[in-house]
Amino acid sequence: MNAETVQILVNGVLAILARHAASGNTTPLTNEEVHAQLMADLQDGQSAIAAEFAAKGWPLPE
Amino acid sequence: MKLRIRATLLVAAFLSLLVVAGAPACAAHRDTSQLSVQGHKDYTADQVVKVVNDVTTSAITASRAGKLKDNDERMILTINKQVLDVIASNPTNWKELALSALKNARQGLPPAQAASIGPYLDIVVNVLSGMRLP
Repeated sequence: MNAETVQILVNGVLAILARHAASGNTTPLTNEEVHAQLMADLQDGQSAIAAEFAAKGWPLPE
Repeated sequence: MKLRIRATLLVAAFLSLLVVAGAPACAAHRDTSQLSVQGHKDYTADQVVKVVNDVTTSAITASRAGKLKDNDERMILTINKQVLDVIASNPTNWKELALSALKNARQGLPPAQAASIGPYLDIVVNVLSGMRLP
Protein backbone atom coordinates (compact mmCIF):
# COMPACT_ATOMS: atom_id res chain seq x y z
CA MET A 1 0.00 0.00 0.00
CA ASN A 2 1.72 3.19 -1.13
CA ALA A 3 1.17 6.78 -0.03
CA GLU A 4 -1.34 7.48 -2.80
CA THR A 5 -3.44 4.48 -1.78
CA VAL A 6 -3.36 5.55 1.84
CA GLN A 7 -4.46 9.03 0.74
CA ILE A 8 -7.43 7.53 -1.11
CA LEU A 9 -8.39 5.59 2.02
CA VAL A 10 -8.01 8.75 4.11
CA ASN A 11 -10.31 10.57 1.71
CA GLY A 12 -12.86 7.80 2.07
CA VAL A 13 -12.91 8.07 5.85
CA LEU A 14 -13.04 11.86 5.70
CA ALA A 15 -16.01 11.63 3.33
CA ILE A 16 -18.21 10.03 5.97
CA LEU A 17 -17.33 12.67 8.54
CA ALA A 18 -18.07 15.45 6.05
CA ARG A 19 -21.37 13.83 5.09
CA HIS A 20 -22.49 13.77 8.71
CA ALA A 21 -21.38 17.32 9.34
CA ALA A 22 -23.28 18.54 6.29
CA SER A 23 -26.60 16.90 7.11
CA GLY A 24 -27.69 19.53 9.64
CA ASN A 25 -30.79 17.58 10.68
CA THR A 26 -31.62 18.05 14.37
CA THR A 27 -34.87 16.07 14.41
CA PRO A 28 -34.66 13.29 17.02
CA LEU A 29 -33.89 9.92 15.46
CA THR A 30 -36.48 7.19 15.66
CA ASN A 31 -35.86 3.45 15.96
CA GLU A 32 -37.55 2.87 12.63
CA GLU A 33 -35.46 5.51 10.88
CA VAL A 34 -32.23 4.12 12.29
CA HIS A 35 -33.12 0.54 11.41
CA ALA A 36 -34.14 1.47 7.87
CA GLN A 37 -30.88 3.39 7.37
CA LEU A 38 -28.84 0.47 8.67
CA MET A 39 -30.58 -1.95 6.31
CA ALA A 40 -30.12 0.44 3.37
CA ASP A 41 -26.41 0.93 4.09
CA LEU A 42 -25.88 -2.81 4.53
CA GLN A 43 -27.60 -3.40 1.19
CA ASP A 44 -25.52 -0.70 -0.50
CA GLY A 45 -22.27 -2.18 0.82
CA GLN A 46 -23.12 -5.75 -0.07
CA SER A 47 -24.28 -4.74 -3.54
CA ALA A 48 -21.09 -2.76 -4.21
CA ILE A 49 -18.94 -5.71 -3.17
CA ALA A 50 -20.98 -8.17 -5.22
CA ALA A 51 -20.77 -5.90 -8.27
CA GLU A 52 -16.99 -5.57 -7.99
CA PHE A 53 -16.52 -9.33 -7.61
CA ALA A 54 -18.72 -9.87 -10.68
CA ALA A 55 -16.80 -7.23 -12.64
CA LYS A 56 -13.49 -8.91 -11.80
CA GLY A 57 -14.84 -12.40 -12.47
CA TRP A 58 -14.18 -13.54 -8.90
CA PRO A 59 -16.57 -15.93 -7.16
CA LEU A 60 -18.39 -14.16 -4.35
CA PRO A 61 -17.20 -15.55 -0.99
CA GLU A 62 -19.78 -17.23 1.23
CA MET B 1 10.67 -0.38 2.13
CA LYS B 2 10.71 -0.40 5.92
CA LEU B 3 10.24 3.35 5.85
CA ARG B 4 7.18 2.98 3.64
CA ILE B 5 5.63 0.38 5.95
CA ARG B 6 6.38 2.57 8.95
CA ALA B 7 4.76 5.57 7.24
CA THR B 8 1.72 3.48 6.38
CA LEU B 9 1.41 2.33 9.97
CA LEU B 10 1.66 5.92 11.19
CA VAL B 11 -1.10 6.98 8.82
CA ALA B 12 -3.16 3.98 9.93
CA ALA B 13 -2.73 4.98 13.55
CA PHE B 14 -3.79 8.53 12.68
CA LEU B 15 -6.83 7.23 10.82
CA SER B 16 -7.77 5.06 13.77
CA LEU B 17 -7.67 8.04 16.09
CA LEU B 18 -9.60 10.13 13.59
CA VAL B 19 -12.35 7.59 13.16
CA VAL B 20 -12.63 6.67 16.84
CA ALA B 21 -12.73 10.35 17.75
CA GLY B 22 -15.04 11.19 14.87
CA ALA B 23 -17.62 8.46 15.43
CA PRO B 24 -18.88 9.79 18.78
CA ALA B 25 -18.96 13.27 17.26
CA CYS B 26 -21.17 11.93 14.47
CA ALA B 27 -23.33 10.13 17.01
CA ALA B 28 -23.79 13.37 18.95
CA HIS B 29 -24.88 15.22 15.81
CA ARG B 30 -28.41 13.79 15.82
CA ASP B 31 -30.56 13.50 18.91
CA THR B 32 -30.53 9.83 19.87
CA SER B 33 -32.35 10.28 23.18
CA GLN B 34 -35.53 8.66 21.91
CA LEU B 35 -33.86 5.47 20.71
CA SER B 36 -34.39 2.15 22.45
CA VAL B 37 -31.43 -0.04 23.43
CA GLN B 38 -31.76 -1.88 20.12
CA GLY B 39 -32.11 1.45 18.34
CA HIS B 40 -28.77 2.54 19.79
CA LYS B 41 -27.20 -0.73 18.68
CA ASP B 42 -28.57 -0.24 15.17
CA TYR B 43 -27.30 3.33 15.11
CA THR B 44 -23.82 2.28 16.22
CA ALA B 45 -23.81 -0.60 13.72
CA ASP B 46 -24.70 1.85 10.97
CA GLN B 47 -21.70 4.03 11.82
CA VAL B 48 -19.47 0.98 11.34
CA VAL B 49 -21.26 0.01 8.10
CA LYS B 50 -20.76 3.52 6.70
CA VAL B 51 -17.03 3.35 7.41
CA VAL B 52 -16.78 -0.14 5.90
CA ASN B 53 -18.65 1.03 2.80
CA ASP B 54 -16.38 4.04 2.39
CA VAL B 55 -13.33 1.81 2.66
CA THR B 56 -14.89 -0.52 0.07
CA THR B 57 -15.38 2.41 -2.29
CA SER B 58 -11.85 3.61 -1.63
CA ALA B 59 -10.36 0.16 -2.30
CA ILE B 60 -12.29 -0.15 -5.58
CA THR B 61 -11.18 3.35 -6.59
CA ALA B 62 -7.56 2.59 -5.72
CA SER B 63 -7.68 -0.66 -7.69
CA ARG B 64 -9.13 1.03 -10.77
CA ALA B 65 -6.40 3.66 -10.52
CA GLY B 66 -3.81 0.89 -10.50
CA LYS B 67 -2.73 1.78 -6.96
CA LEU B 68 -3.94 -1.40 -5.25
CA LYS B 69 -3.14 -4.95 -6.29
CA ASP B 70 -6.06 -7.18 -7.24
CA ASN B 71 -5.21 -9.63 -4.47
CA ASP B 72 -5.19 -6.86 -1.87
CA GLU B 73 -8.45 -5.39 -3.15
CA ARG B 74 -10.03 -8.83 -3.13
CA MET B 75 -8.91 -9.46 0.46
CA ILE B 76 -10.22 -6.07 1.66
CA LEU B 77 -13.60 -6.63 -0.01
CA THR B 78 -13.81 -10.20 1.28
CA ILE B 79 -13.20 -9.03 4.84
CA ASN B 80 -15.62 -6.12 4.44
CA LYS B 81 -18.27 -8.56 3.22
CA GLN B 82 -17.68 -10.72 6.31
CA VAL B 83 -18.16 -7.70 8.57
CA LEU B 84 -21.35 -6.63 6.76
CA ASP B 85 -22.73 -10.19 6.84
CA VAL B 86 -22.02 -10.48 10.57
CA ILE B 87 -23.78 -7.18 11.30
CA ALA B 88 -26.76 -8.14 9.11
CA SER B 89 -27.15 -11.52 10.78
CA ASN B 90 -26.49 -10.58 14.40
CA PRO B 91 -28.33 -7.38 15.36
CA THR B 92 -27.60 -7.72 19.08
CA ASN B 93 -24.06 -9.10 19.37
CA TRP B 94 -22.52 -8.06 16.06
CA LYS B 95 -19.59 -6.21 17.63
CA GLU B 96 -17.95 -9.20 19.31
CA LEU B 97 -18.51 -11.44 16.29
CA ALA B 98 -17.20 -8.86 13.82
CA LEU B 99 -14.11 -8.25 15.94
CA SER B 100 -13.48 -11.98 16.16
CA ALA B 101 -13.84 -12.37 12.38
CA LEU B 102 -11.44 -9.48 11.77
CA LYS B 103 -8.83 -10.77 14.20
CA ASN B 104 -9.00 -14.23 12.65
CA ALA B 105 -8.63 -12.72 9.19
CA ARG B 106 -5.64 -10.68 10.40
CA GLN B 107 -3.90 -13.75 11.84
CA GLY B 108 -4.55 -15.77 8.69
CA LEU B 109 -2.93 -13.34 6.28
CA PRO B 110 0.22 -14.46 4.47
CA PRO B 111 3.23 -12.29 5.35
CA ALA B 112 3.16 -10.27 2.13
CA GLN B 113 -0.49 -9.33 2.60
CA ALA B 114 -0.04 -8.77 6.33
CA ALA B 115 2.25 -5.87 5.40
CA SER B 116 -0.17 -4.31 2.91
CA ILE B 117 -3.57 -5.20 4.37
CA GLY B 118 -2.63 -5.31 8.05
CA PRO B 119 -2.82 -1.54 8.62
CA TYR B 120 -6.29 -1.48 7.04
CA LEU B 121 -7.48 -4.28 9.30
CA ASP B 122 -6.06 -2.49 12.30
CA ILE B 123 -8.12 0.58 11.41
CA VAL B 124 -11.36 -1.35 11.28
CA VAL B 125 -10.49 -3.26 14.48
CA ASN B 126 -9.81 0.06 16.24
CA VAL B 127 -13.06 1.54 14.94
CA LEU B 128 -14.99 -1.44 16.23
CA SER B 129 -13.16 -1.52 19.55
CA GLY B 130 -13.89 2.17 20.09
CA MET B 131 -17.64 1.78 19.56
CA ARG B 132 -19.65 1.87 22.77
CA LEU B 133 -22.79 -0.21 22.77
CA PRO B 134 -25.65 0.17 25.25
